[in-house]
Amino acid sequence: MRKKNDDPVKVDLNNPVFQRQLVSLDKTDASRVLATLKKLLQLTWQQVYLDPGLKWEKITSVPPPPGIESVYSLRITQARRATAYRDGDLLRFLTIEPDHDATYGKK
Amino acid sequence: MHSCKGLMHNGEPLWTSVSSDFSRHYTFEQITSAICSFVRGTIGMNANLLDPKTSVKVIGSSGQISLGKEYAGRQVLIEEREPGVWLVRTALVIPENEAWLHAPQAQHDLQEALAWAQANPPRESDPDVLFKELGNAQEKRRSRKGGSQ
Repeated sequence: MRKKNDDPVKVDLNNPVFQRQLVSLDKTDASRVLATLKKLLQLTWQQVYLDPGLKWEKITSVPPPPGIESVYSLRITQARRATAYRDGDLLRFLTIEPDHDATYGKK
Repeated sequence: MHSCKGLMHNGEPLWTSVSSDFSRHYTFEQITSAICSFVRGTIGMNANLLDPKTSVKVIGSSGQISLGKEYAGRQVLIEEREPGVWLVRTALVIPENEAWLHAPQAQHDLQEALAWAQANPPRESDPDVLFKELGNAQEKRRSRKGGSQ
């Protein structure tokens, strides 16, 4: 699969787990998620990797299944992190979880 | 095969140290058979520890040894028990900032999401369209609930 870091990011939001968690958010949180997704579509991959607000981090403690190179986490709202992975130009979202560090004011 | 004949305890055959009350309910054969099974099981469990695979490795000029390709990329815990003696165990290290991912629900959700992603090809989404669709679906569910009450 072709991977160029100066290509714009596209998103895949079709994962039912991601959608289930998205609809369980309150309206304010959901609109923050939408704002982040729209922001992502304005960025190149290189910009995503370096964006201080997104905090793109490789997950090292969960081995990815065959066919998936690495799983990453990124901050999707002030209080939530999403897990996702890159497939070509697509950022495939997996889950949304509360960001416990943000909740307890560690970051 | 390990034989149980001749098992001794305090200078007596092992079976004689079993209490007389216990032996009233079980025959000599039943008791010795049970003891032999236990001993064999214990020896079997520890067989790997008693008979470890030994190999000679040469430490390279930069202080490295190889454990074999099958362990490539794995993390290990190295315990130096005394100078020149190490215990090396494969280990899963969870960085503090990934602990949230190992809560049972988060782990379950991630595994479910990964399984779905593996089974379904990628497809580009438009966030605005998705939010509209999910919003409409929620509205429908709410109105159905309201209608049924």
